[in-house]
Amino acid sequence: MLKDITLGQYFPGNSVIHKLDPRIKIILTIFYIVIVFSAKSLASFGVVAILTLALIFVSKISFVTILKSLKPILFIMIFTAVMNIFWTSGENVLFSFWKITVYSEGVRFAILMVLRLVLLISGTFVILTYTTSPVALTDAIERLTKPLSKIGVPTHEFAMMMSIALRFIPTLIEETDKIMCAQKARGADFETGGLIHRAKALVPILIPLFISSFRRADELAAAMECRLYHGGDGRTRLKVLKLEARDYIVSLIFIAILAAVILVNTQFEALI
Amino acid sequence: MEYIIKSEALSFSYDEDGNGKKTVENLDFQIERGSFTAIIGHNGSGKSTIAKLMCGVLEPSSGEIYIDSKSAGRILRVSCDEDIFDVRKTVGMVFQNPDNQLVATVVEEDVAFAPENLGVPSAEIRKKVDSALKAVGLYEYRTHDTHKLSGGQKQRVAIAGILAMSPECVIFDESTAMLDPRGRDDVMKIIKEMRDSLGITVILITHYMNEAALADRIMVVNDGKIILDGSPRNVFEKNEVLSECGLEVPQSTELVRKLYDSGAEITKTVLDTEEAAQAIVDALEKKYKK
Repeated sequence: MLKDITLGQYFPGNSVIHKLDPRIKIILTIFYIVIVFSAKSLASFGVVAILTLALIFVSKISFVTILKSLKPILFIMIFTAVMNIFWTSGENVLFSFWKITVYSEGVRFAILMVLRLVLLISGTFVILTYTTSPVALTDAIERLTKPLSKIGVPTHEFAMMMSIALRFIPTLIEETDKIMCAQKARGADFETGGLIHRAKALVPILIPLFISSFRRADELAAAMECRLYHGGDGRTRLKVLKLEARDYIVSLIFIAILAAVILVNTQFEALI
Repeated sequence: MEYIIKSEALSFSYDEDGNGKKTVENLDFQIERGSFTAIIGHNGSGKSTIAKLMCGVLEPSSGEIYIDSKSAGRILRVSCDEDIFDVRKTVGMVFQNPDNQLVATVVEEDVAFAPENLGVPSAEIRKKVDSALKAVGLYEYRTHDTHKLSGGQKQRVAIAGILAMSPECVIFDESTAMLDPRGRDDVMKIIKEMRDSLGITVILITHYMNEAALADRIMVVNDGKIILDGSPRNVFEKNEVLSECGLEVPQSTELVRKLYDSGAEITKTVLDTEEAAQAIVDALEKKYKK
C-alpha cells in the first residue's frame, strides 16, 4: 500500500533537459526565477511563456502533469487575483458596484500576477523537480556548495546525510508496511475513530520503526567504516560531472531570454 | 604455513571497563592465506564478535590481532590507530542484513563507494566496479535501483562492493542467514569462486552446518573460546561435543553416524548427502558380497 509513493516527483526520461548537468540546472532555475520576476508587461510575459512552453515540450512531460502540479497553488492564485482586482486603484474605472470599484489596471495586474505564479511553478518544476533525480540533485548541491567547506561548513556531510536518507526511504516504507501488518494482525485499528484516536494508533508503529532505524544506522555505520569511509577528504567519485556543449547552449539561451525580456519591458510597454 | 591473520591472547568485553563478562576470551589462532575457514557457534557464542575484531570494527580489550598485508607490505596491528585504515582495506566484511550495508541508490554507485573513499581516479573506479560486478554476475544490473533487487542480489551487490576494494581476505558474517535458499546458493557459489579464482582468503561465520562443510577448516566457538578446530570431517566426527554447544551436524552426517553407532560397517563421518548415499551403497555392497 505504501509502496506506491513516488520519491520526489522525478519522471525518468532521456530529453535534453534530463541530460543537462544538474549543477547547471540549479543555476538555471535561479536564473529562470530572475527572468520571471523581471517580466513586467504582457508582451514580456509572452516571451517567458514561450520559453516555458518550449521547456515543457522538450522535456516531453505531459501538460496534464503540469496542470496537476498547479493544483496545490490554485487557492493562492485565486486569492492573488481577487486581492489585485479589488484592491488596486487606478484611473480607468471598469465598473462600479455598490462600494466596490474595479479598475482596468487591477484586472491587468491580477492577470500578470497569476501568470507569474503559473510560469514560476511550471517552469521550475520542469527544469528541476520533474527532470532531475534526487541523487543527481544531492550530488549537484554537494559540488555547488563545495567552496563553503573552506570556511568550515560541513557540505560533504550534509550531502552524505541527504543521499543516505534518500537511500533508506524505500527501506523504511517497506518496514512501516510490515509493522502495520503485524499490528493489524494483533487487532490494531488504524482506520476508524477520530483524528486523535488515529494519531494515537500510530504510536505502536512509530516506536518499533524508530528503534529499528537506530539499529540500522548502527550497522550501516559499521559497514561504511568497513568500506573505508573517512569523511569527504581525498574522496574521488565514480561519475565526474563535466559541462558539455548542451549545457553552454542552454545557458546562452537563458541569458538571451533575459535580455529579450528586459528589452520587451522597456520597448513595448506602451503597447499594452 | 603463511598466515594472513594471527591472534594472540585476544580478549574482548562489551563492558567499557573490561571487567565484565568477556565475549571473547584469550584466543590464539591463525588463518592461513588463501584458505577457506568456517567459524560456527550458536547465538551469542562470540563468533560475530571475533569477525568484527578481525576487520577492525571493534578494538580488542586485550591481546592483539596481526594482519599480514601484502598491499601495505607489512604486518598490521588491529589495536593500532595508524594501522586501522589498512586493516580494513586488507580484510573486508560482508554483513548479515543486505539492506543495512548498501549506501547508494544505484547498484554501480554503491559498488564504487569503497574505491571512492580510497581516492582512486574515476577511470580506474569504473574498471574496478565493472570487474567486481562481473565477478558476482550483476553487470547487467549496474544501473538498477538497489531497493528493487531481491535479497540475494542485494547481498551480491554488497559482495561486489567489498571486492571493488581489492581486499586480501573477506569475512562473511552470517551473510546468508536472511536469504532464501536460492539466494543462499548463489552467494555460496560466489564465495567459493572468490577463493578459487581470485585467491582471496575467506572466513565464513555461519550456523548452517552444510555451508560450513564446504570449508577447508572449521573452528567451533562456544562462550568465547575455540572448542574444536580442524577439517570438517574431524569436527563432524565429534558430534557429542557439537550437540553440547547446541549445534547439529547435517542430517546426512547424523544418519550415517547413527548407522555406524548401531554397529553397521560404514564410514564414520560423511560431509554431505552424496557422500552419505555412497557410504550406504558401499556398506550394503560389502555386506551382501560376503
